[in-house]
Amino acid sequence: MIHTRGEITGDVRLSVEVVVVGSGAGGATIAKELSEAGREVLVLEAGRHFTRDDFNLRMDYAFMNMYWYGGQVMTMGMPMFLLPQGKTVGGTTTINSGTCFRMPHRVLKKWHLDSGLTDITEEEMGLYYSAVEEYLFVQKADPEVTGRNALLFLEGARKLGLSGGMLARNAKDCEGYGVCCFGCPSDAKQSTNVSYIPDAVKAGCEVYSECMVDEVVVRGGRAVGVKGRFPDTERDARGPGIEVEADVVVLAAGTLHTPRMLLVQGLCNSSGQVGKNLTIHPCNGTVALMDEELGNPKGIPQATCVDEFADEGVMLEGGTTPPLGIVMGMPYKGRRLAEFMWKYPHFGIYGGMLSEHCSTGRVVPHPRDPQRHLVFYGLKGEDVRKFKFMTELQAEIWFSVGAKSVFTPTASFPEMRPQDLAKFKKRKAKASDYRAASAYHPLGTCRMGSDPEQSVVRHTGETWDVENLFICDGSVVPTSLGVNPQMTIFALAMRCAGFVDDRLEALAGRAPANTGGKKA
Amino acid sequence: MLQIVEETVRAITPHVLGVDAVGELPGADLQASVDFLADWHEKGIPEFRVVSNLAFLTLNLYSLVRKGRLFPRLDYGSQAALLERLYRAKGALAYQFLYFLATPAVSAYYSRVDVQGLLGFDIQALKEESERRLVTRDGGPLPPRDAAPEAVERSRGEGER
Repeated sequence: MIHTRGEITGDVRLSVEVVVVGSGAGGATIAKELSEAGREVLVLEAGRHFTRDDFNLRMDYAFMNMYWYGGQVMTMGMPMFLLPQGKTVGGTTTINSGTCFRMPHRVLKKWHLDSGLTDITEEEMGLYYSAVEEYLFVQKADPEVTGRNALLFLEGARKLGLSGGMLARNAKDCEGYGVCCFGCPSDAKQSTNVSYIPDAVKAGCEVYSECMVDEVVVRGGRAVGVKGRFPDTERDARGPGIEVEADVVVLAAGTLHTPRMLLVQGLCNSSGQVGKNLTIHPCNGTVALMDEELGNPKGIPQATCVDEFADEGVMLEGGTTPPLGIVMGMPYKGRRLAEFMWKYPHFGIYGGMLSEHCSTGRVVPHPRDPQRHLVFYGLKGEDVRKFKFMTELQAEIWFSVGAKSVFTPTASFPEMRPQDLAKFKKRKAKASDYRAASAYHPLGTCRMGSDPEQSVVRHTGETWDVENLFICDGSVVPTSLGVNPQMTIFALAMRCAGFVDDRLEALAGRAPANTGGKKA
Repeated sequence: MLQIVEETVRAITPHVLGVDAVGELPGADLQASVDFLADWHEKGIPEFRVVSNLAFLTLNLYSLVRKGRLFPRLDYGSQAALLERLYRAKGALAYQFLYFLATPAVSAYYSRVDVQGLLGFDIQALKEESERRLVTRDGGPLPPRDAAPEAVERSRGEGER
C-alpha cells in the first residue's frame, strides 16, 4: 500500500526486514526484487505520490511540485548549472526523458582497472540489463510519434556525415505527448511509479510518501533502522515522527541526498570519499528558427541522438520543451521577447551533453540547514572546449537543414546566423560565456570500489564502515557512464538486491555471510 | 512578500513581456506574476528567495539613485528607459540579475494554458487525448488512433503479463 501524508495523524513505529530510503531507479527496484522474494520491505519516500491524474502537462506545476526545491537545485561554480532532481514516488524516473542505455564496454573496463570492480562482469550486467529492458518495455523510439523536430535534426546530422539514430526508451505505446519531464499523462513511460513500485506493493511492500528520513540508526557498527518524520508543510512544522527497526537499511535517496545524510551523521566516511567525486552531465541547448512549423513540443522530447563524438565525451540528445522552457533562458525583454516567442511553432530545439569529462564536484550538507545540500561543480580545462564544441555542432547541424538563425545560451553569440558560425568557432572557449545551462545524471558521491580507503561501498553495495547498511542509487556509480544512467542504476539495484537477500539469510542463520570483500 | 517587491513585480511585468499587439498574444495578468513569485519563493530554496528579493530591491535603489523615485512610482516611459539601460549591460552578473527580475513575469505568462495554446501547445486537447489513450502494463498494444474507444478499453485486458 502507498500511504500518503494525509493518513498520518500520529507517530509511526514499525519493524521490518528491510527499510529502503527513496523510490527512484535504485530504491524501487530493490524494493520490488526483495518484496517478490518474500521479504518484508518498507519504502520511505520524501516526495508525494503523483498519478497520471496529476500529470497535467504543465511545466510550471511539475517544477513546483515534483522537483526538489521547485526545480531550483543549482551547482555552485562556473558556469552555474541547474540540476533538476525529482521528488516523487518514483524519484527522478517520474520526470526524466526515459532514455535507456547500457553502460559502454569501455566504462566497465575502467571500473575494473581503476576501481578494482572485477566482480562486476559484463556477462552478469548483461543479464540484469536484459531483465530490466524486458520489464520496462525498452525499445527504440517510434519515428511515427517522434515529431518532426527530432527527425529533422537527425537528417541534418546525416547530411554532415555524422552518426546518430533513434534512442531507446522505457516506454510502452508512447504517443509522444511531449512532456516526459513533467510526468507522463498516459502512463506510457515506465517510470518506477507505474512499474517497480506498484509491483513491489502487489508483493506486500509498504510505501510511505512525504516522509523525510533524518537518521540511520547504528548500534555496535551495524545499521538497525532509521528515524524520520512526516513534515507538516502547511504549518512549516516537524510533523509526526517515524521510527523503523530493520535488519538491513538501504539508502537510495539519490546522488545528492544520500551523501548529505551520511555526512550529517558522520557515517561511512573513513575513506573521506563521501560527497566527493561527483560527476554530472553538463548540458547546453540550442533553439533554431526554421521556415517550417515543427509542431513542438508534441512528439517524443528525447527521441534521437547524434553520437559521432560519443567516444570524445560529446553526445547530442534531442530535448524539446514547452514555451516556458525556452523563454526562461532568453536575454530579451519586451516586444523583442514577445516577437521571438510568437515564432515558437517554428523553433527547432535540441540539446547536447558532456558525457565524459575530467571535471568533478562535491556535495556537502548546507551549513545552516542539514536537510539541504550544496553542490560544487565547475567546468575545467578541456571540458570547457568540449562544452563550446557542443554548441558549435548543434548550430552547424541546424544550419545544414536551413535554420535562419540559431539561439545559443552564450553571451557572445546569443543569436547566431550562418555567417557567424566561423567566428564563433574561432573564439576561445570560456565557461563564463555560458549564461544558461543545466545538468543531469549526478553520480559518484558514495562510490563503489575494492579499496576501502578509496571508496564508500563494496561491489555488493554494502558500506565498508557500517554493516547491514547498503547504498543503492546513482551515488555508488564510480565514474561517469558516458550515457544516460538510469539503466545502470536499475541493473546495479537488481544485483544489490541479491546481496541484501543473502545478508538476510545470513542474519537468520540460514547461510554464511558474504561480505563482498574484507576491510583491512 | 514585501510591499515594494510586489509593486515592482506589477510594474515590471508589462515591460518584460511586451505582448501588446504581438500576434494574438493576450495582455499580461499582473496579479499572476505576483502569485507566481509567492509560490516560487515558498517552494524554492531560501537563498533564491533572498536573491530574488534583493534583485527587486536593487532595481528600486538604482531607480532612486538615477531618477530620484522608486521604480513603481516612475512613469511608464522612465521605467522603460531605466530597464533598457539595464538590459544593455553585459556579463554573467547582469544576466543573473535580469533573470531574477524577469522570472515572475515570463513564468506566469508563458505557463498560461491560453498563451501556450496560441503557440501551438494545446494542453487541454493533449490531456484529453492522453486520457483516451491510457496505457497499462498488462494491456495489449493500443489500437490505431482512429479506433473506437471500446477498442482501447478492450486492449487493456488483452496483455500477456
